[in-house]
Amino acid sequence: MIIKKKTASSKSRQDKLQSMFVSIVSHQLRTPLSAVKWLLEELIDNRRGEPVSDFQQRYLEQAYESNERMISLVDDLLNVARLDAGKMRNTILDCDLSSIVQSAIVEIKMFAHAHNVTLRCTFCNQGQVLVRCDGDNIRLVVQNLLSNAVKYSGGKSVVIIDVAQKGKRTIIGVHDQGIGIPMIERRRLFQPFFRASNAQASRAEGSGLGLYIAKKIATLNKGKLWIQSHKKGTSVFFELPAAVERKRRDLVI
Amino acid sequence: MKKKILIIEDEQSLQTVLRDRLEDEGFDIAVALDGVEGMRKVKEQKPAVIILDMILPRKDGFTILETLRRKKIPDGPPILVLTNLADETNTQRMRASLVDKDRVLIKSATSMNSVVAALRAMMV
Repeated sequence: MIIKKKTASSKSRQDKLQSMFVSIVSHQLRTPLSAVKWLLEELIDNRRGEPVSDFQQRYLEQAYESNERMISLVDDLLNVARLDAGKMRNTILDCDLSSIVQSAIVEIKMFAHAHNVTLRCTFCNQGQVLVRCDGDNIRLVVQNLLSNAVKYSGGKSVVIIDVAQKGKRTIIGVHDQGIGIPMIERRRLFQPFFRASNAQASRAEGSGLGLYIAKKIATLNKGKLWIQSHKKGTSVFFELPAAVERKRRDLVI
Repeated sequence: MKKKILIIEDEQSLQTVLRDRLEDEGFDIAVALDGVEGMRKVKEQKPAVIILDMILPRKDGFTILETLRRKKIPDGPPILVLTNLADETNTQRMRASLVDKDRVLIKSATSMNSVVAALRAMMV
């Protein structure tokens, strides 16, 4: 009994330490990163019209990109810590998938443009598609899947986002024409820090945490995530419970 | 007359970039580097909007929020909380004080343009 008590108190101490760590990391690391973000944004925007050489402009933009990568790496690490500790905020409500996908597209439009990839949503302008989920967390997942699709597309191509209805479930598909995933490595894709060998060989940067986070968030939202990949192209499917009073006529099947 | 914004932020570089940009946008700026100075300037300067960081020396942003929004009474200027604390416990603590006209933005996920847009919307 005493041992049990001790274990419980040491677990609660560990939980406390972990949440303190998350809180400190989120503040201490993000504060200088956001200062650099804003300073560089202001320099790049150069609203005062002061002379900047092409060389300086190029370096400023690269510094901004690197800083954004650092911010997203910190976000990934924090999300992993929250998910592993069961402390991820997740409020399930009726959410419109069309607007979630649209705002995810807006977020990564610049990134897609830089990679010469076009994002095409087949249902975004055709009314609401209501699902039960935490909108912010699902937006994070969609953004992550789109960013993977763009990153591994390998030049001029199109990424298609579609939706299908299967009974009381809604399935979102993200389809790219990229480098694909070797058959033998597919089972390990959802392990933290794992990156497929051809992804590592490509010049694309990644932490190997995106799919791990996506799968955990899918589970939190009573959903599923799975992957189909061929020699050329990958499709990621993401299933969520449809909202009860969904507008069926608006769905693209 | 120019509208006044009070920036309560202890990180020097964030304070500088906010002040410069908002002055360029045509606002009158007052700054405070800690919570005690911040509370004093809220009374002295009568700002149209307060930009408030949460982790501050001498008196933190939570205490300031709880003082300015005692019992959630929406008196005084709108408050734009600029923070990197996005975890549930801290978010709940902020929400307990904030009223409809206030906003929260996560610094590392927000561009300067969005900060300016939020401020303008809060002044309407």
